[in-house]
Amino acid sequence: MFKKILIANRGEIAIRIIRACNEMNIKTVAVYSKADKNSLHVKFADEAICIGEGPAVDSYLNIPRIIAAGEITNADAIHPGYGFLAENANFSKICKENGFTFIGPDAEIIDLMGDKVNARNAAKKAGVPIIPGSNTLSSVKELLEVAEKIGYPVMLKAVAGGGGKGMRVIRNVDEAEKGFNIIQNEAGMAFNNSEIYVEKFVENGRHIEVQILSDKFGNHLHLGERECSIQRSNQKLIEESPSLFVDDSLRDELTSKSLQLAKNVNYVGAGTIEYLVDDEKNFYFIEMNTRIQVEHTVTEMVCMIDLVKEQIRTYAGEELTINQENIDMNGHAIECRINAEDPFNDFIPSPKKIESLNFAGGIGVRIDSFIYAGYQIPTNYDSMLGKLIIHSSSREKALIRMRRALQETFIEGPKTTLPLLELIFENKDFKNGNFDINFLGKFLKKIKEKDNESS
Amino acid sequence: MWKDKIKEIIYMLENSDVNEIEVRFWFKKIKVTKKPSTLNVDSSQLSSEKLNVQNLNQEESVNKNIDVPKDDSLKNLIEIKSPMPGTFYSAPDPDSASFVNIGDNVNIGDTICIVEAMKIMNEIQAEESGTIAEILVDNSNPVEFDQVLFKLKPSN
Repeated sequence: MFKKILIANRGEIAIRIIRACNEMNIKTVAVYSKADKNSLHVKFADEAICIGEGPAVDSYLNIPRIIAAGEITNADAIHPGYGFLAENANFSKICKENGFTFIGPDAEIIDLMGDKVNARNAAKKAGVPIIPGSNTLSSVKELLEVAEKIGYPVMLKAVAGGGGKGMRVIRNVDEAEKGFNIIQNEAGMAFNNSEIYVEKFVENGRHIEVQILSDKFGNHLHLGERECSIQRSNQKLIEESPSLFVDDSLRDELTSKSLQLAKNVNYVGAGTIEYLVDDEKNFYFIEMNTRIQVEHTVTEMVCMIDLVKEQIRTYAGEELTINQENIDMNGHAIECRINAEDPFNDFIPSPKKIESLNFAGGIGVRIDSFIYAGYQIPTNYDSMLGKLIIHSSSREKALIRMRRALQETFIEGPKTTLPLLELIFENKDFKNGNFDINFLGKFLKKIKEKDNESS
Repeated sequence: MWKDKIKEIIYMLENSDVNEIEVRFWFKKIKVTKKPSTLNVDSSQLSSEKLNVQNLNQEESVNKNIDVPKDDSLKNLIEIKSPMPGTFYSAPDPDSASFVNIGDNVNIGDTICIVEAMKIMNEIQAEESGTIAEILVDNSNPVEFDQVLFKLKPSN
């Protein structure tokens, strides 16, 4: 097992990893930017090294400085968390070259899954259904031909895309002609790779993903699915496990196909395979994430398995101690993301000082956060302040508990997503499981209209 | 980080009548106690609240004094900070003499130390000319980004 792990991240995920390491008796090294001097991960780690200025390119994305911090502290492994360098193949390679174990897949697997066209082909090979579409497009003419064949609307996407950037819905020939260059330029700027491809656009899909855990001995497990359809411009807000929409036969299909893909690419560690599921329960591969995800917590609550610990163990070369048969999924878990942004004003970030706060407590409530009273939210990073996770024996009971927990929780200072979350948990359609990926967009529109009427 | 905190506490203890300080910070606890021999408290003093307040005020004034350098020559020193985390080397190799020593004059562009990161020797150069007043890091010790390495007395 590792003796000391350097955590190349910040915020709640850095603390999540420190907690796992503490319980495993592994020493931790935090790295931090000058903007994060007062951040909690710096105080919780055994050692902390300042690596640069606030902007991420000078700190959390600066590979030489992170490696240098690992060298001066004698760390033996580097955990990238999520975001920043978590799915950077070059970082994986450089860690290895400098004698650190990268707690993530080898560069080859990240490259394979990070390139959307290669990933589609790998999925196809494993027998996972993919959305009808193209390989890398060379011209507008090719786009028009493919779109004609698969039928509008279609989605133009960046080959290197992710995080909701570099994609656009195209509904006709006119939009296709205009969109081709725009998305190509956007992709070039955002990902330094202007290659794009096209897929059929599934209008009323649900976003459902399968958690995978694999070791170096060829053992592959699934830990059920997560329902992540409550999202806004491809940013998830509420996630739950299991999904009300997934019945036993769909679950069998989703999990067995996911395991086949993990086997085919010789996957190691924790990974997630994302699907779009349409009204008729047809499912299509979207992408594979080769890291721990924000919403891993709901899976942990229903399976009672610490995914971060298991992830660390598999990269330390240990064999999985769990079998598929003894994974016991119990009850229902829901996660809410609390972000410092104004949900009623286009989600404008609100990086203010936390004047005071109270997090919910009591049975079945879990908080993964890093904020405290007096903490000044830095402007350099994403706006997530923490996650409120509820576990109970059924979805109905979990909904009631979440409402109770949301009422107990307050954060004074910044604007947060808390009031929006309270409204969603009062909504009948949401409570009945009557939603798809368009739910939140429509819900916000309705709130705006009501506001305009009353004013 | 903790080293600095402990140093700070020791300093406070040395400059006050207090005999023992215990600090709880997040999950950690530090207790610093003076040697028993220095213990010289009149029990009547302890009961007097007024006196304790006075002592605290004294303590504060002592701390204030530290910020003001007694010697004018220590004023206006320029801090030379590490541009990256890495290992600090005061000489080009173990057998050579240090690039600079206290009292040495340096010119703009003179190499004053090396910070090694990822096996690359990054030469740190003086951005102003002046006299080395302080060297704050020992040879082959790790340094963080923005850590002060030298204090320089500018020549003009």
